[in-house]
Amino acid sequence: MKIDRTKAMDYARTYWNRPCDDGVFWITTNSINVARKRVELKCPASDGWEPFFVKDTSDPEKAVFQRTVSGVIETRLIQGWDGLADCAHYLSRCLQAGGIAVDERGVGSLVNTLQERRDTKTLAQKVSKDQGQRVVNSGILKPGDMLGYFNIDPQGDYNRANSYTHSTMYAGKLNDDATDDGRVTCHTVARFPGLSWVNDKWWLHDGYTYTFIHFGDDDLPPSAATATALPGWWKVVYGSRTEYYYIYKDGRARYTLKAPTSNRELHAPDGSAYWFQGTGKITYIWRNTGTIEDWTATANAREYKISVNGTPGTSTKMF
Amino acid sequence: MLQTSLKALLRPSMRCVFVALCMLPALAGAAWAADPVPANTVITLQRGACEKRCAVYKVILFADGTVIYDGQHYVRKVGIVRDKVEVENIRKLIEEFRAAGFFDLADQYGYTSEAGCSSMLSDGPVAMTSIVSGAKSKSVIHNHRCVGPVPAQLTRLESSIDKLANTVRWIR
Repeated sequence: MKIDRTKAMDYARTYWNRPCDDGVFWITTNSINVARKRVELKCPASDGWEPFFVKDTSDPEKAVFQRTVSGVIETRLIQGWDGLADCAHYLSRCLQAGGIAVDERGVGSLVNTLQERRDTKTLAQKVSKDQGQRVVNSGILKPGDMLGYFNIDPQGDYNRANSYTHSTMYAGKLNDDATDDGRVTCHTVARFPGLSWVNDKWWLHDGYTYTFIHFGDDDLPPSAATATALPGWWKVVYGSRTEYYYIYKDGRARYTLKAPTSNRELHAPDGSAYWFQGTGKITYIWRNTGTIEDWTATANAREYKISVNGTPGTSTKMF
Repeated sequence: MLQTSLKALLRPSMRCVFVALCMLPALAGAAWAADPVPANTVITLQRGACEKRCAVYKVILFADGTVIYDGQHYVRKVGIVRDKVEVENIRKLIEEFRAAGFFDLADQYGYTSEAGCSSMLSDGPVAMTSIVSGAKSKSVIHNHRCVGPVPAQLTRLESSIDKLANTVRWIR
């Protein structure tokens, strides 16, 4: 089933600053059941109490019951900042609302599960902020796609480096402004574009590398002509580099620095990509670097004008 | 002319005065170094939370070298630990506060206003540093999102407190 991005985003818009509709939110050790907390804290829904994630004075966030009585906001604490860890759970619920059966609590396992799905494509793996911005600006990433944040700051995120410590759902560019960085929605800390009390630009903070996971079943299929002409070996020249691409019909591509001697030869790649047919161009996104490469057709069906992160070049069909 | 002046300097009576004048800075330094740490000295550093799960803890240093650490969240050691450091190191830390102009700083950087901040980062904990020593006392709230020369100075001072108390053994 294809992801329903509208439903995933609608769910996010409703629950971005609330415990999810399954009535729980997660802390590092276990889950907090909102209904039980209502009884414990004497906050029945009938008295107007609603659970929210809110900004705290000195901590990033806390979970509270809140109601407004005669214009005065009353709050009762459910859970302070220490231990809040609901990002993977929230993302799972968003995706479930969008028809994707995912149910994970940890960020690492969420990333693994999504990457192993048949309907996803990892556009970029642990790339830098600048590399990631290219991926966002390519237009291939869509609301409902997922980002994993791999902490590389030894002092940040649970006082350790080299693990996935956060996840978000891409939510598009704010107000469809092409110059916007691109925004995300998540829990811990609660974010939704334009509504957050913290930065909700996709990159969040320094000290991360980023993994972009794209649901690809709703991508436009390539034209019959492209699907026939593109697969095979191509010699690509740009700047001072000469590379050899093998392009697959199923949307994959790989490159090598070693020239093939026949169309049947497939040697170990130096990198891999996915390609997407857009309006007037074919876009490649290279996984290890977030490199964006656009191919534009010429009068010669066996040749394309190319642009690799803005560097012009040519590609020529071999064999 | 110069040779005559030099000869005058080298006369025995002048030699004594000359030597005494040369020793003055050393004598003054020795007297300064012997100033005891005011008995009421208390230096406190409280590190707050951040989105990236910064270590949350407090460390207090007293005039007699007593160290109290109180680990709260995202630390290796949660709870109270008592330790001791050399009093001489407390005195040096007080001098660091003086050299940094701590007592003349604003009450806060980046907490309720961005005055004193060249720019603001997207995340960072709040650290509160305070000192009572002799007749002087001062507290400064430093939001680590606030970037600038004075915040950098505060960061160095906070690091000095951590280093003296050796808090790294309880945090990581």
